[in-house]
Amino acid sequence: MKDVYSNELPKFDLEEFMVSMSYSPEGMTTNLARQIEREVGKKKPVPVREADILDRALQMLPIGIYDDDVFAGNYGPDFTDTRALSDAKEADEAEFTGGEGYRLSTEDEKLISGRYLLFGVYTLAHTCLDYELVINKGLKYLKEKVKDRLAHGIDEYGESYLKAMLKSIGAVQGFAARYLEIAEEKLENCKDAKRRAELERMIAALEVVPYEPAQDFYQALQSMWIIHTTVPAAERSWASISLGRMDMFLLPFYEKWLKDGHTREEAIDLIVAFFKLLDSYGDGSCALNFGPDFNELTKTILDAEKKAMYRSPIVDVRMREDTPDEIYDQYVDKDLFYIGQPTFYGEDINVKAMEYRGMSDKDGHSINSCMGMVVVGKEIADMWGCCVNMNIPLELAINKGKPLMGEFPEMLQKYLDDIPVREPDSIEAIKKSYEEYMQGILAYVADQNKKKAAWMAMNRPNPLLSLMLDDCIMFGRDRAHAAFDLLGDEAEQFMPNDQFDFEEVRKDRGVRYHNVTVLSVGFAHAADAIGAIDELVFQKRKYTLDELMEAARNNYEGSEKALRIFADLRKAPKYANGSDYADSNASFVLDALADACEEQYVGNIRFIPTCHTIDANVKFGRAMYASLDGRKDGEAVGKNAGPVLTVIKSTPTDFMNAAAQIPNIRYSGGVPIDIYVTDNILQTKENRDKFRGLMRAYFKAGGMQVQVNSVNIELLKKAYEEPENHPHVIVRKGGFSLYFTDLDKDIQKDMIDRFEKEIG
Amino acid sequence: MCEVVCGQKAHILGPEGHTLNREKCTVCGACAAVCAEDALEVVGYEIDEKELIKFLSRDKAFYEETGGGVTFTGGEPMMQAADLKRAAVLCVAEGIHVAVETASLAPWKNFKKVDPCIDLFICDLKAVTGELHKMGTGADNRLILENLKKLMDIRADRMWVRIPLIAGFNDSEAEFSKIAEFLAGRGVARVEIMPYHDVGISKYGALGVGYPLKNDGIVEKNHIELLKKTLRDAGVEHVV
Repeated sequence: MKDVYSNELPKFDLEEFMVSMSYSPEGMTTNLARQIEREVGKKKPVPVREADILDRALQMLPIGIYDDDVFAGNYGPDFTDTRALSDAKEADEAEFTGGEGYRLSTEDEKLISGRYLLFGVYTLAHTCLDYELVINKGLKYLKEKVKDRLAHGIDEYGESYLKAMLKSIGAVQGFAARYLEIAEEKLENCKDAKRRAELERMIAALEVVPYEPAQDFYQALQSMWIIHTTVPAAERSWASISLGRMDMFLLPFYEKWLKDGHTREEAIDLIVAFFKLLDSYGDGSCALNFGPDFNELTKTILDAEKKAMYRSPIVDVRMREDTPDEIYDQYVDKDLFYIGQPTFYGEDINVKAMEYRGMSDKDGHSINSCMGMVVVGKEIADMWGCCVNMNIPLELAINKGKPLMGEFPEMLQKYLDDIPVREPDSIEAIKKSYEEYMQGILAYVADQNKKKAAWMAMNRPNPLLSLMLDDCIMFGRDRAHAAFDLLGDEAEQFMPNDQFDFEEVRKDRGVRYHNVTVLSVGFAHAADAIGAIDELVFQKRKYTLDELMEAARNNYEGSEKALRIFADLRKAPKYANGSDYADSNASFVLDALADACEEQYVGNIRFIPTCHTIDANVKFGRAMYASLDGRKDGEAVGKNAGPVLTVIKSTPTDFMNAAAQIPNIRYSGGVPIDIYVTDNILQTKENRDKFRGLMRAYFKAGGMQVQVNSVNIELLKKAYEEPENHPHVIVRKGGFSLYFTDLDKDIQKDMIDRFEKEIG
Repeated sequence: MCEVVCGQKAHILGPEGHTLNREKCTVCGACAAVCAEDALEVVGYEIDEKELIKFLSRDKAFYEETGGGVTFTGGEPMMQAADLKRAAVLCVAEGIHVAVETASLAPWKNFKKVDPCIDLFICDLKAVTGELHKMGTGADNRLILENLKKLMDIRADRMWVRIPLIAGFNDSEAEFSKIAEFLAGRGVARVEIMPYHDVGISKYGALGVGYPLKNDGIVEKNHIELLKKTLRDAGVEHVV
């Protein structure tokens, strides 16, 4: 038996993962401000302390305006000295390596997450802000709303939370004022008439937004950028904060702009400048969302996207069954495909999925980055708040409640103790046990998630973000507060101090829709293993379960028998390879996960399964021992809703047929499939029409999300060999855009392999 | 590992590396399943027509949306007319569009046999000049031309002619003038030039077969356009 604690097979590092979800730009001062406030803010109510941290961070942030800046908004190393930078860096290091928000509770939790890939955390950010409201009504509207709420009387904690919201608004105003001051200084010293006009436009905007409503197209973009900088600074994470239906809510500003005598080309330049800021400071999943409501501005923004060719923002498009071909044709575009855009979503099925998870107020829905549909300004999507290794319930089902390797620590085992140990004497019995163990595992990961969310709500509340999410003002609570309430008495341990009464504080909730996505890792392996066990153990009776388990424990090595088992497992039918039986096993394991997730619904918290691995399939696989489908120790697991790597050479329609069988409607956390096309495929109308037909058929069949990867394979290989010569090759990973050479070498190799196999 | 799982002892690992004795191999696939480097792969498998139709029907929604369907292709399907017909009839019954890619070197009775259940014939035309065809392919082209004429007589609107274009073989204007004369005014639904490319080199390598042509057969883009013009000028319609 291998030692599950040893690092012979490196464990997945959940603490490192939590840090990696912050995407903090260089020079950011939030953690530095926290260090200072830790001393001076000791006695403040926590929400107020957090607002003060934000204020301090924004005041310390090294900002500046370059001579060619169109908008105010740059910051970072260029505007400070090495000393200040190293202070910020040290504060980041201290926070990331020892900070409470990034630390797991025990070594046991490290083992369960790191070896068995079962965990619950709270992932920051991941939301779609209501920019429409901010640019049309200004922060002053929200300020009035908060004041009004205070005037109607609220409990003591709510009062302090609402006051912290007001402070946060002040912090944002103060931040804009810093840019205003710099712009005024620049104007004073500027002699160039053209630049003076630009600076005057910038000053006029900064005197207004984001506190007041924007007066024109330029000011609307400036307002959006200040919000898009300050919310992540408050949240300590730049992950997946998306722009929503920008082409719709900016349209009146755009039309007025043209009427006032400006040109479309000027608008494109402004949008490109805005995108440059997004690309410089955001992560690669900030999404623009377009749909069937195509207008003049949609086209202008798409042209800006093609002109900019940045990693961010990405483009997500919602397509309906009745969407005309002409609208499809705007998006099936070789220049967009070249930069890995767009990702196509079937709107009909995605809306049904929102209804299924109980979201009645879904008007104005939009795609948030790579994670499916959200309701703008009313929802947090705690992405990968839970993670489930789909092979584990199968191991428990065939091994009488024990994993194949090692033993579960008590903190997990106690969730499984009440499950009856069943003889694995038929595939039906195994499937029954699989479902029951899945329920136990979900109870564990969901509890872990609620604990982390509850800690976050009470110890790292975010009054600025909560201000912009319904119904946090109404309840005077943090966006993640529902978890604190719903955890029950256990939540008391997360009270930061005794300033408030636990029973009074815990009531009510924060954001209207509190969704936690539950990542299924390795579902194709679990499904393929069930099929193989059925065939080899119960139908052909070629091996016993014990022999299979023994072979897997030994990584299918060390004896001729192990090798023969390995060969037979690899030859068994696989998911997404043209086998109805294998595809139905995938539906079975994914339904089991969905059932278990729905069992954990509590209050307004929804646990929503997803197949959305991005490229973590490589990292997760590295930590996992051999699985019962013939996957060996440390090999990458299947990516997104795709099959295992050995069968990836199947056709796009094999993927699509298989993925359409997945219970998509229950998987509103995302069922992305990756379609690789050679970079010249869209040059003829005939091929574009075929591609459009492919999308239509998939969405009609119930598919949710298709990501297009159109990169020249030779270029990828060159970038792999000579990264220094190819720093700007953009690739997609699960709805995310990034520079290829920024990826781990292993992941680069995995992408090349998949791309090569798929286009065959 | 392949040599361990092979019941036929077809794999030999010697000082020169790995060799596969294809005479002994029964294509059981065990070796490919255990090959750590994915260097071995079984391509193709046997399937009866009912299973085949079930498999093909999985993609029916895609055929409908894209105007696609099933294409039967080589080994020469027109030499297996009875099997082809059995499968094609089932496709037609399922409402699946059926195309056949053929070199057209098969008895006319075979074409007659399958004609009712084939929506589209895609016929190769490598050369009209008899000696040239013989030199390039080793086969006489009289039967091919005869079959094409007969097909054009009865179903020109439901057939395509595809000209594989290979430098040094059939890329002369003189040969294309003859091809043009053969096709002009016949109303073939689509006449397409398919330029030679060398992506098959790796496949030949994988099969352990030498590849004699390499880059020599590639025709330049401008010349392809010129040959298309030759066809169009002579009255050949629907040239792509």
